[in-house]
Amino acid sequence: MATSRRRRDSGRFARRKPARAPRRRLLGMLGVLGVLGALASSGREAAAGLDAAEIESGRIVHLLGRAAFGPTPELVREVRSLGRSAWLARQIAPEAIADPDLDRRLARYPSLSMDYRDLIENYPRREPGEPQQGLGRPQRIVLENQAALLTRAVHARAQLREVMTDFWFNHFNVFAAEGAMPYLTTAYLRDAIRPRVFGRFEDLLRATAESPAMLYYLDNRLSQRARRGRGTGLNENYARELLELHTLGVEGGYGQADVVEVARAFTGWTITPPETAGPLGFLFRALWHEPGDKVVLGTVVPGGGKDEGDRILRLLAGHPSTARHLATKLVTRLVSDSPSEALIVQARDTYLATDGDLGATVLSILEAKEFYARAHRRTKVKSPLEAVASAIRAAGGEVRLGVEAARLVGDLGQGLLLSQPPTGWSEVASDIVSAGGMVSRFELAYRVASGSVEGVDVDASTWERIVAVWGAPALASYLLGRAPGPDTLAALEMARRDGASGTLLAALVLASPEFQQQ
Amino acid sequence: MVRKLTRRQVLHGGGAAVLAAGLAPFFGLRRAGASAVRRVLVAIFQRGAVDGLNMVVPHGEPTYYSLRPTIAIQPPGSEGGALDLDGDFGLHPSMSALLPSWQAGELAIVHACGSHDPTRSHFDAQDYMETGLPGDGATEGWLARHLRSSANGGALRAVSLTGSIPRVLAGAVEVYAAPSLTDLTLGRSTEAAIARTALERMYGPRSDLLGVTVRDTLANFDVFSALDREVYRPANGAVYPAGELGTQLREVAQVLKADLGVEVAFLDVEGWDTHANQGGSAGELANRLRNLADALAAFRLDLGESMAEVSVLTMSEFGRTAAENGTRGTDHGHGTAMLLLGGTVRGGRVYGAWPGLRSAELYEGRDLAVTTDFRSLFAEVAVRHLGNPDVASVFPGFAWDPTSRLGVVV
Repeated sequence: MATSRRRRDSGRFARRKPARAPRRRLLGMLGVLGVLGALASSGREAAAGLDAAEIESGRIVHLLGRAAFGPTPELVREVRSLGRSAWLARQIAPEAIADPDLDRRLARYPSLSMDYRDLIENYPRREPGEPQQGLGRPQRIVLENQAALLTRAVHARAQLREVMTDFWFNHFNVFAAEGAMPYLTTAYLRDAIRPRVFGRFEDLLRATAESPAMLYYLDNRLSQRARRGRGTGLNENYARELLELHTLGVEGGYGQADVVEVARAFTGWTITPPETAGPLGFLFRALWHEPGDKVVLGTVVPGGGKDEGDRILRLLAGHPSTARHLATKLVTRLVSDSPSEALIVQARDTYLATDGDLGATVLSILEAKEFYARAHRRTKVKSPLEAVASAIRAAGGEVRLGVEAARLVGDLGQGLLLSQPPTGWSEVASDIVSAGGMVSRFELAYRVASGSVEGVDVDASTWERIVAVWGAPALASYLLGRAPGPDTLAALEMARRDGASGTLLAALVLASPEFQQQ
Repeated sequence: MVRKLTRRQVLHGGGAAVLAAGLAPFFGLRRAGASAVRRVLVAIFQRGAVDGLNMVVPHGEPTYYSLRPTIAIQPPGSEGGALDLDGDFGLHPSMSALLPSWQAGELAIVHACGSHDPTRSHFDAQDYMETGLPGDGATEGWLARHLRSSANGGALRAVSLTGSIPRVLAGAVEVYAAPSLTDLTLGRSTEAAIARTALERMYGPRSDLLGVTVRDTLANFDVFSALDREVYRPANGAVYPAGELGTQLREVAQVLKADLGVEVAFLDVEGWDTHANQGGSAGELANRLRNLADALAAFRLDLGESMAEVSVLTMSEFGRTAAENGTRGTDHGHGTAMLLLGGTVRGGRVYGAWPGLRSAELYEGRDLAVTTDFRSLFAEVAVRHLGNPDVASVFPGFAWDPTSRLGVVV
């Protein structure tokens, strides 16, 4: 599944439903165009004399490229009226953000709220007369999960929670399409990751350590002490990635002996066998556990069953190497592919001072003065998810069914939930950009602008009207949230003179370097 | 949006005409300025650390069987036993498609090969193998340095069938990376020409990664879009196995036959990180090895006589523990086996000093030791097969001595 990026059989699931009338945003956008059109027409020469409103507008657009999946005219207005700090304060308390429209959209994916047993035994339900198919069709569960992630990225009001869910899922990556993983990933995202992205890191770490998804993916479910002369019984996979990827980082100061000790401490952390009655979930099997003290990073962890693993997680979560590793990754995601030492130190110190409070740590980055530095503006190439979600958001698209749109994320090179190695997908441009990938981005731009992504409604007639009344530069400013650079402006005007339609111009804006970066 | 772009801007002069007319005779068509023979390297990275001891089985070593009570490949002649190569080593039984190459002397194996760096991190070890600089934080790949030090004016010398330019080619300018080379159709729009001109205008002046990549994309677009995957027919009845590797090697064969000047093709194949239930003569690892062997055998058959100038090199970041672990798999180890297949290979031999598997012989008491630095193999391929004139610049800090080389390349 990870490798078949090109086509997948969506079957009945992707069958087109009768289209609702596309949302009309033309009236709403005219007010915005007033401001942006002026910005565009004044061009770069205005840069020296931007007024306060324009400077603030630029900051908001920058913030929404990092703390959200791109600006929309509505969201820019909302942030401007609330103020950036107040908006951020609301974003890191997402439970208070009611979002009935999102709930309605997500209701299309019944598997999202199901527990393991429901998924395994009852989903998807067979139609009467349909032959039995073993455990069902787990691919559908993955497709629903992907579609829901994409739908949330585009439409959720709690945008920063979606950004951080993407970040932390990737940090604690699992591969959703192998073995039992399709059945385990739904709850992993829903119960382990998403509710904890602004909580304490230790809680998130423990939730992943005890999650059936992680126990399955990194094999710890099988790891046990040696018995009856059966080899060592150990499996080091989770222990190594716990140290290298989840906490300390590869330079974090551990050795092979630590990996083995941690693996020994986590023996017996497993999953309830599917055939037992009752809910599936985490199980500590004392019989599988390697008894005795363990020594990890020079610290003696007294033999004590499951408590050893808990102590190690606490030790790792509070370790300075972990603080630095996480701070570096967060600053890379939120600010720059070449993160500055000052911002890393600030985030690290916040993390250590707040006992690993992830909301506070993220805020320390997003509210830093340096966050808005000119050197960081429009410098990060959008990840595939960011590219797809932001294009649909910019075009005012409505995701009725997110399966096809989610597939496009895979076409751009980073299939949702489908990174096979435990590193997850890379965040930096040099790993994201390729010739083939740019072709896919251009194609995506055209499909979004022309409203030809299945399941996503876009009113493509809007573009010609905007161009006819306001001109190509105004269309660019509308879709970008800011004025394009001179090369893109020249390209658009040249294309218009050569007879490009409004739809093609909109596609070119979405294909432009300004749109590919945030 | 720019599907079926005009072909007027073909960079590789005459290329489009050749392609439009079908497939040129492989390498028969000499390009202006090209040297007499162009050698090709196809490098395949087995991501995740392949279990070299089950891929190339040391069946002559009794310790192998005591270390691996449930996953060992039985000796030749047994049910599901290894395919004997030389009395000491045997191929995994699912790799029988490669036996004809072995018997024809086109397939060589270098065992106990790898990096002397102690890391057991996949990601560090992959970086080290790709940069050719173990323990170093370098970012430039050894194949990129090879291309630079053997510059010949070609604009498209390397292709990588990956989602981005891999570390091994990072720093090279003559490289094109895409998961599929021929499935490159851009937009169906009649406005394609307008779109292309606009994209050139938008990205052309930029010197950043996006600008460079898009210029590269547009420059190579015509070349690749003329190759139609649907109409390609492998030669000699070759049948590539289903799956990504087979599909991609088929594309590599197609691109090589089209004579575009490509000298290096790089591919990734994932899924070798077999920590649990890896199986023995059948099972998960067996299936992956079969897929690899079948794909390589199809590629060899498809290229036919052209294989005289082509080598396929497999590599993996490290090996796996000599003993099976408690979950019928293997954990991260050290030395592994690498394959070299092609017409310039002195095949039919297992190269490298065998370090043994007894406890005292194992690296850190648990892993197959490394007796051949991977750079010895890579450097020999770069010099002897690809004709690189300056190997010191390809593997800085590594003293490659031609007089004590492996001898795996003719």
